Amino acid sequence: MPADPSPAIATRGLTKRFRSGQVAVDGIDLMVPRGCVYGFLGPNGSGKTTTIRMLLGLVSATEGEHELLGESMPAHAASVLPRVGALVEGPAFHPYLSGRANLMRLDAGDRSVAAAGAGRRVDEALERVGLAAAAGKRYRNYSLGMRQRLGLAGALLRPRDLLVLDEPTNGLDPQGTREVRTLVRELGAEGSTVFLSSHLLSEIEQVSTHVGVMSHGRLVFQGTLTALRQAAGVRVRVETTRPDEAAAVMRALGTGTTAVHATSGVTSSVVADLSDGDGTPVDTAQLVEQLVKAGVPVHEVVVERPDLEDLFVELTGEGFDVDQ
Amino acid sequence: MRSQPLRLFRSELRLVFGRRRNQALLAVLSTAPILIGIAVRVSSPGGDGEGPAFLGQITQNGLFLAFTALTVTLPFFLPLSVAVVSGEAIAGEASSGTLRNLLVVPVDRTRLLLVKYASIVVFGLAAALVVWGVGLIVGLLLFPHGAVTLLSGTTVSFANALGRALLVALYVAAMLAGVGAIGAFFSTLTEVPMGAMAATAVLTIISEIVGAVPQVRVIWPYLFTTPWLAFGDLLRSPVPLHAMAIGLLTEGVYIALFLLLAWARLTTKDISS
Amino acid sequence: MPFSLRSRWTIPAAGATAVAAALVISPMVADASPSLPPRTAAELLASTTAAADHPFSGTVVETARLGLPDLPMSGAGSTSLSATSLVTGSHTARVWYAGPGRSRIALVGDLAESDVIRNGTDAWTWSSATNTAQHLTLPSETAKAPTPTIDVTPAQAAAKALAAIDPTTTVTVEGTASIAGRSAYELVLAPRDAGSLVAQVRLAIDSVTSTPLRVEVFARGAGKPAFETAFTSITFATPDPAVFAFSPPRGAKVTEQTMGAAPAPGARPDAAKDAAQPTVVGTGWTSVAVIKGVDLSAAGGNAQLSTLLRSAKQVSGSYGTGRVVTTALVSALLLDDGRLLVGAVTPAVLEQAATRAG
Repeated sequence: MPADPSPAIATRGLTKRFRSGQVAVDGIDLMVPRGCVYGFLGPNGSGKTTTIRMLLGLVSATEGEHELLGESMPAHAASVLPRVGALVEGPAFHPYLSGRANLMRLDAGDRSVAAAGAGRRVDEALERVGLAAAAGKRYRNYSLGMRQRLGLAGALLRPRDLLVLDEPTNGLDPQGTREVRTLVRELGAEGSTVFLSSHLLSEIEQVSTHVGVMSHGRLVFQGTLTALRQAAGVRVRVETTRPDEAAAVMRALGTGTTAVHATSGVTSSVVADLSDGDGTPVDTAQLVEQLVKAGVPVHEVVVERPDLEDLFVELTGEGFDVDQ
Repeated sequence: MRSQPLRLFRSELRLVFGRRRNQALLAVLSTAPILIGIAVRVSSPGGDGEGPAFLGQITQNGLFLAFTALTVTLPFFLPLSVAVVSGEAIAGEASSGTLRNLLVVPVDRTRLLLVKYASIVVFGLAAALVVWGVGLIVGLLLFPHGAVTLLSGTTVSFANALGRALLVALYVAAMLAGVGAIGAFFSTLTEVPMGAMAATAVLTIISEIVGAVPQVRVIWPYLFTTPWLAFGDLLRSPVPLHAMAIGLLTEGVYIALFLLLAWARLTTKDISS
Repeated sequence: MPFSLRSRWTIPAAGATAVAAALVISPMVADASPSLPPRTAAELLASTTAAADHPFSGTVVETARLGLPDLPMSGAGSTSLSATSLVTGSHTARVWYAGPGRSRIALVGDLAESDVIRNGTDAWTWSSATNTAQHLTLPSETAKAPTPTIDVTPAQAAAKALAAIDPTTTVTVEGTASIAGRSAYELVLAPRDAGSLVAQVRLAIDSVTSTPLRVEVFARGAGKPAFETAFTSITFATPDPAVFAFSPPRGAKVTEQTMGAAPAPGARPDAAKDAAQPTVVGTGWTSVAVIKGVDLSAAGGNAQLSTLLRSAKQVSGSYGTGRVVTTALVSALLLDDGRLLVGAVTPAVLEQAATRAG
């Protein structure tokens, strides 16, 4: 990991208010460290794409500022963007040009590279995404998966310090999805920072080291994947016939929120967070030992790790609905 | 690295001239001199001053087919083809989404506009030269050639007339550059290329209609279509430069204003397609 | 940031403002009256009639606003350049003058040109639209005399206006004007007779060469001249002799005519139409031309003429019945007996003339 102190992406109060008055992105403070794979998670319409467009200078921010690779944008777009590979909102190419010709056109626009190496750069990028065989085919005749791969190839035309990939697995079959996942891991391993947006938690969970969660234009969570899991809070549930004594023992050990739920039958449930937030988590073995010492009959002890999916829904507040 | 600034321009030219639709436009334009040439050839000789200018002279000198073809295509077909290409320029990239790809490469927006406009100008020049060149070839194949009688009744050598004809094509191309700037501006306003093309063509036609209504004669000097036919002055002796200079100035002002508008629009526009 | 982006629109706005300002200011600068030493009308007239022959070349624009119906121009190259078309709209002519007997006028239309060239004893007319040339060989003694051509140059128009100066006219010098970049005095001729439709004729006379640079004819109650011919550019230098050398192009229809010292009117091909030769009633500003045997039943083909006739007013009097047409500068009375009276006068003057000429 490079020792560059400046983050790959940093935003302060980045806001986009459309002329209609709708606030698409509401004062977000992104912080993407160098060398990480950052999963940018949120339901469709939560402001992910607008944020990415602002990061790349396609859409002007109403308020706030941001930096890419330590340089302020959009002022330094000319010097920063060549080091940034991007796939924004799905692939878009000229339908009547071949895949190769489309990439050659993008390469021609890049003033920071020599014309001489254009063919080699394009062929390598096509090779990397597995499109070498279809390079001469017109884009019009590409399948959805091939189009997505060509979009990735465009982002990989040259070695990049930062890759911004917006929903890169859209339209890919399971095989293609696996390939993209491998590609992202490889890029991360090579030292590039990858900023990966998705509305699918499973996708982010498998490749990311860091996560940001968007909901209704706000960044509702940001941190490492581990921190996200912790935020989910590991809880312990104790089934006992003497719930009040059990709760007292658990509080004494320093658990977080502890509550007693009466259940059907003879026993009740005592549910407690294993950590009260700042402190170190309570050890379950010690908890059982103390309960037994206190003479509390323990019928069942369960450590509950909530699914990230549940947390995601909890954070973003909806299931299949699209944010408005 | 030396040819760097021209790489995108060359890519743009390949895009414009490689596109089938644009090739078809040039092919349609080239049929104008062919049709006129054949029609004049098979019909009875002897013009009586009816029909488009120079028509009567074609049978005496094939070179006039080039002039006639330019005169016939200048009011509508030439500006229409430039309207199509210029309306496509930015709006086409926006509608296919390729605009965002170019901008994150990054291609500076001002540079993109200039490259796009330069390729529009080249297309206009190519369109004028196609009409001119096909007219010349068909004219020389079907009709006699030799010394040429100018509008002033003066006779000049074939080489002299050929030079004048080339200047006519260049002047026409300069006039089409005005249409191209208007089209480029409209093209920054929308993501629907057809809309920009139609707006440009309609504005050209409205300008020509207004330029034919004597009741509004006072605004004629300010229309971008008014100086188009001044190329006829190249066929006088001595050549009066005033009207063509005014024509170039008029187009120059239109080009400057519409490119500035296009620039202001494109560089402040949110690319959300 | 939002400000700097929005402020970009101020750049095209500033450009548009600059263009608009240039369009407004440049005619104001051009129209600014130059200051010249005062001259009386008599001095000015004298200098004009005594003016030395200055060779020149230039461009003249003639504009007529006679109140005739304007019709949309048709397509390119079809602009008519006949002399009758000079009564409507605006026309441009290029003029070269190297002295008496050497002159050329080129009436310029879109993709067409009509030329009248006088070079010694040779006079040519040329029309590019019809590809025809007429060659007139003049008797040698007239080689130096001015050619009778269309009254389109300021010199010719001014000569006519100056000839009309008699007790019926007030002549004054009213300020100065700048025309084609030259300073000029404005000589104003105003008819005294209220029967004339002409309010005044203004001549702009070059302060150095005394060459008339502009002629404006104002109708009564009109703010803009009904007829105007002015140089838009003029250079006082002898034109290239090649300009006057004309040889008919190959393939053109050429008609040859030789003009004797005293051509007999009967020799004219249109002698049969003698009845249509006009007689003039009255003098000065209120002269009325009377033409007999006019039949306009065939005028249906001429859109302009038929529009004009539809606007005609029925009149009757001791002279009979007829129709009267008034334009800004000219009235015409067409009597049912086939007489046509035309003059730059009020219809009342025409009716009086019709009664007298009865």
